[in-house]
Amino acid sequence: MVLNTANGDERWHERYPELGTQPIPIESYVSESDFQLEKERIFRRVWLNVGRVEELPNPGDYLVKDLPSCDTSLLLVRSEGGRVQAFHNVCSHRCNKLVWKTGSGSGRGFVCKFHGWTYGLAGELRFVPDEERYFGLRKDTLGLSPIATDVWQGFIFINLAKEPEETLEEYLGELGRELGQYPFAETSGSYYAWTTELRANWKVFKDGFQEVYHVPFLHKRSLPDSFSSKSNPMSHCLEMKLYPRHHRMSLYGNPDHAPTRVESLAFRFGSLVIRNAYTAGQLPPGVNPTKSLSWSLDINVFFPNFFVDVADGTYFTYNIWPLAVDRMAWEVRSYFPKAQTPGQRFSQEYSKIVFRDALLEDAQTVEATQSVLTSGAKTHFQLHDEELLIRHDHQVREEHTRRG
Amino acid sequence: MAERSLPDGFGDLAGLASAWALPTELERNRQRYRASIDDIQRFYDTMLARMDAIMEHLNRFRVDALPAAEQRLLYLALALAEVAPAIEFYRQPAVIDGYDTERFVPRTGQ
Repeated sequence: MVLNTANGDERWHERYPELGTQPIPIESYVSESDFQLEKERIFRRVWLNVGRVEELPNPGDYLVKDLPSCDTSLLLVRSEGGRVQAFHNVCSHRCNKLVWKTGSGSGRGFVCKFHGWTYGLAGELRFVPDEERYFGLRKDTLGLSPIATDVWQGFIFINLAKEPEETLEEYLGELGRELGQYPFAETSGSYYAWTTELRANWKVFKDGFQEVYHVPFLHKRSLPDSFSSKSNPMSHCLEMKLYPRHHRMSLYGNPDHAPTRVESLAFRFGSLVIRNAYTAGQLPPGVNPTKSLSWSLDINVFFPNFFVDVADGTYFTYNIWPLAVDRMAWEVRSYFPKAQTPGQRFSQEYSKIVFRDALLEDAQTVEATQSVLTSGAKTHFQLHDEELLIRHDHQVREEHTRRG
Repeated sequence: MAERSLPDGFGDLAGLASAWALPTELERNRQRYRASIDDIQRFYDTMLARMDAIMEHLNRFRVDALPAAEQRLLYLALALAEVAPAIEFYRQPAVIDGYDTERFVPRTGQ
């Protein structure tokens, strides 16, 4: 059933009565023990996105990424056979961090700075200086420690469990299958990225990006009429759908949005985060699921920390990494088809700048919330019908942290 | 010096280019935050009036094969994208009630 939510009487919560409608407790947002449980029972057990294949296109290319949420550093390597494999970035000798410089590089192997132990692209230990003075060293058992790695639609995922409970495909499930039809390869040729560290619990952040109830207020200057209109003043969503762990909301877009002068220039040369050329039929069934012509983008949230928000001709991702109960890192990427002309480059620049400035509005609120969260003034969050995803997330998190 | 020039026909923008033709988002953003809203408005007005001609000229080239003067002109156009929110949304250089832009770090050479 396609629901015209802008004027519909049905509430989203009625579709998911098992979630209830009660306020949800703040406790897990401020509790050190909850934070430890989240690290141990969520972040060290589930599939986590850590990059895209375009970051290491050729055999011998590698990517170093520190992952404090999981107490490790990753070394992602594209092997001679072309497969991307993650390893703990830890030397087998006395646990020195093998490659220190984060980011991407290329080579034929890795040499530890400390004592010169040398590894090949498959993680195998190739050379140990002064090897004959060891005591029965078995080089063939002392390669880098591998981490379960798989790729979905060009997105690289890792799982730190010794034996993951599910395959990546099973983990991503129905949402992965629906969203997997989006043309990610064609839309990933140019990307722009930002990182920042926020003084906030990662869930305070996450909640702010899985509802758009805030848009008419927080973004009244930057997005005055992109996601709302006279007929839908509160930015009600076109659709919300919950999966066992993940969820999606499909956002309204105002077809009568009045562009600014620079936006009009930019839109001549390509899709923008705030405005696209969707007409009908050019996107797969799992994108803009109601096939509304008043559509802007879909927010797809893969538990626990990966957002893939898709529009027509552009998409963006967030990765959220808890660092402490009140600290987190945030990675943002804004993707487009590869810019061929200067006009397309200009269009992408405008899109990313408006997007960035709107994100600065969001981020400030996240820290402002955190700054008073431990005041003791409140014990619960009140959730609106359009904040269903926050409620669902709370439930999924509880399920994961309660299990042994 | 080639990198200080603009393509023929765009010499009128030379004064603005010395301040605004900057190769990265970080530099363009810092220039926006350094400038007064009156300076930004002058830059915005002048550029908007010239953007049709700029784009028509630049689009004769591929973006990854731009001669130095055209590359510099593109940087100038990208600065218009950078300042657009200051004029069109905020009426001041900075995002109103925004997060510190210096903490929001561009990661690629964008």
